[in-house]
Amino acid sequence: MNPAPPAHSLRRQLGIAVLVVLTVLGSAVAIGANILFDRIQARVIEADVAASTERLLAAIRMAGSGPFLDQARLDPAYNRPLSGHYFIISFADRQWRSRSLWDTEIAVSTSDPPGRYRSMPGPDGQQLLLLSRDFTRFGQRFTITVASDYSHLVAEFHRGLALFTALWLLALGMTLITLNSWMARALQPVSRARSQVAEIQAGERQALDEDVPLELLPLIRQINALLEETRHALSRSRYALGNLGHALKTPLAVLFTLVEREQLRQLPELHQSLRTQLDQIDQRISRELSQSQGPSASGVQQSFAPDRDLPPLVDALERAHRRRLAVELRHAAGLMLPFERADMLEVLGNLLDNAWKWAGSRVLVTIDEAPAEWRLRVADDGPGIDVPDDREQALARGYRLDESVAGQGLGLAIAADIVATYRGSLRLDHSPLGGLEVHVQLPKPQGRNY
Amino acid sequence: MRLLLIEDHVPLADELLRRLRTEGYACDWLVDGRDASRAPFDEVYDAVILDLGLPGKNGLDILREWRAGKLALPVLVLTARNSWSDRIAGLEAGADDYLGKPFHPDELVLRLRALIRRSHGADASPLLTVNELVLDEGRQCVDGPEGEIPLTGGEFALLRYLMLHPDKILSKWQLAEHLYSMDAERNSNVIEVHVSHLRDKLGKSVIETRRGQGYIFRGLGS
Repeated sequence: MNPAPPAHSLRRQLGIAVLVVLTVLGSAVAIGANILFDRIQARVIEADVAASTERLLAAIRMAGSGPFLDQARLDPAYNRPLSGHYFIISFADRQWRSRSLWDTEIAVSTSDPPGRYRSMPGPDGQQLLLLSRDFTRFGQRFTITVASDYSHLVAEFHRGLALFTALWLLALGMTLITLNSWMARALQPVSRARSQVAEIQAGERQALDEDVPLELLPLIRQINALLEETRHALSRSRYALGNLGHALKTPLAVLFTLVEREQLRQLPELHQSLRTQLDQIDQRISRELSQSQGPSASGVQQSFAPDRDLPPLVDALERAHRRRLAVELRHAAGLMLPFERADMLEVLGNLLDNAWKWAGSRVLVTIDEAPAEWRLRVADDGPGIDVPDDREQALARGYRLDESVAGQGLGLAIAADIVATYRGSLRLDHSPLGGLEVHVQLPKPQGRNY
Repeated sequence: MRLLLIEDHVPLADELLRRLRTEGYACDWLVDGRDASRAPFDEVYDAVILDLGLPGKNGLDILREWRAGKLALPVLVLTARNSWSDRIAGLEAGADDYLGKPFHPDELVLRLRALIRRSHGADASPLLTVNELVLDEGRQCVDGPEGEIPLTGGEFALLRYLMLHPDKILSKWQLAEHLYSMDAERNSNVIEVHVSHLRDKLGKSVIETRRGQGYIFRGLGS
């Protein structure tokens, strides 16, 4: 994978979106529940407090000494200290307090409008809801204030809220994990398309598979159309270049012949420079034609099989040079190289052609396979090139014209050009036979994992 | 030597015909592939120069047809398509030699000379030596014991043909067929004149006459 992930990731963006939506939604639900709970709780407590007030009022009795509170009618909780249930009954100048209040003062403000609920902090961290109401009984005016602790309900609610939050976070996490794997699944066609593009690059495939999700289909179709167009344009320009090159060769042949006419031969200076220029045009065309070769966009048409292809090549060279050499071909039987046959013949043909020019009597061709590349070597027993700088020059010489040997170095340069179109390399070395050895390295086509 | 040139590019054909005639070859010229495919069966040729990109019929197909028809004539393919794979295809189709365009005309002449010599079993050394007579094809003269003997074009062409068929009876008719192109006037008297001039220059025994049959090249050997 790429070491530096790009800033924009669909998966991350979608994750963030889900996170935001679920957080906002969760918070809204929590706040809503809070408000709802508050209301319900208030109603429940209020009802409780109102009922307590009624019961207290009923517990006020009259005796001879005046009004008293019938203990039997009182909720025992009023007698347990800090039980959370409290009352204060005021009448005339007297005040009855529940035992549960112990020594706590509950500030009963007289300014409190009667019949209104009020919330206030109570003893021991309690949360009290307070109601004062005025009653008239036995001709007396009683103010009954009842307070009830509801902190346990709040605690209960907070526990519930914590549980809810925990469950919510769990759901959030699970959603994100699920989302991640769903995204991975949903994006699978994209990575499949990517490996198919790599296959196209390696010439193993013509177009992308159109069996993809609906959303990707327009993109894939567009890419296929682009590929098709590029392929067309490429083959058109290759074809045009090839045609131009070949079409120029016949008129050039006429010029080559014309320049040898007696009238021109009598002007040696003119004759020589015309010949030189014509040779340069010829070499230029040959090189450009070799560069219009190389792996085609539509893949390898015919692979190179040394068993089948090398003997006719050697035969062609023998005929071209009218000279036989002891040619030794070293390669595994049944070998197939995943490169265009015509291009490999052109590379080896040019290298052997060079060897034929220089070899004493022997030429050795070796083809072997390394894990990541193919290695082709053509060695001869000719004079070779001893100085490394001269070897570099021999390769570069194809660009210039060496008048001593027509086209010297051109073959090597053409071979190097074709090798370069396969991202390979060509270098010159000392041969075990004593002369020059040309090493060609051709990386194996990589369809995937690049 | 009579050659068939099959080339559709007129200026090139003009130049080649001019050059080949100065080299002592009688040349017929065809442009269309369909005409070319029958020609060597109808006329007698010693070699063919065949262009591959022809109108009417592809040169390689013509060549395959010839070879399928057991035509053993030496064929030199001349083409702009001169990659090694094209060369191999040409040789596999039955070409004897392959020359890519553009070429130096000297190269064509040398290859043609070698091709014709090989087809007659002679070696490809610069000088044609048969029965101790040495012919310099490049300079169109004989290297005699007393130095160089210059020859006229007609004498050279006749002597070369005779030397490539040593010790064989060659009729005047046969010689005329191989020495003159289709459009040339075939006059057997011309051959008689050339034979007589050659005898004057090289000695009487070089060419033997068989009455009513033709001539035999004997050379300087016994």
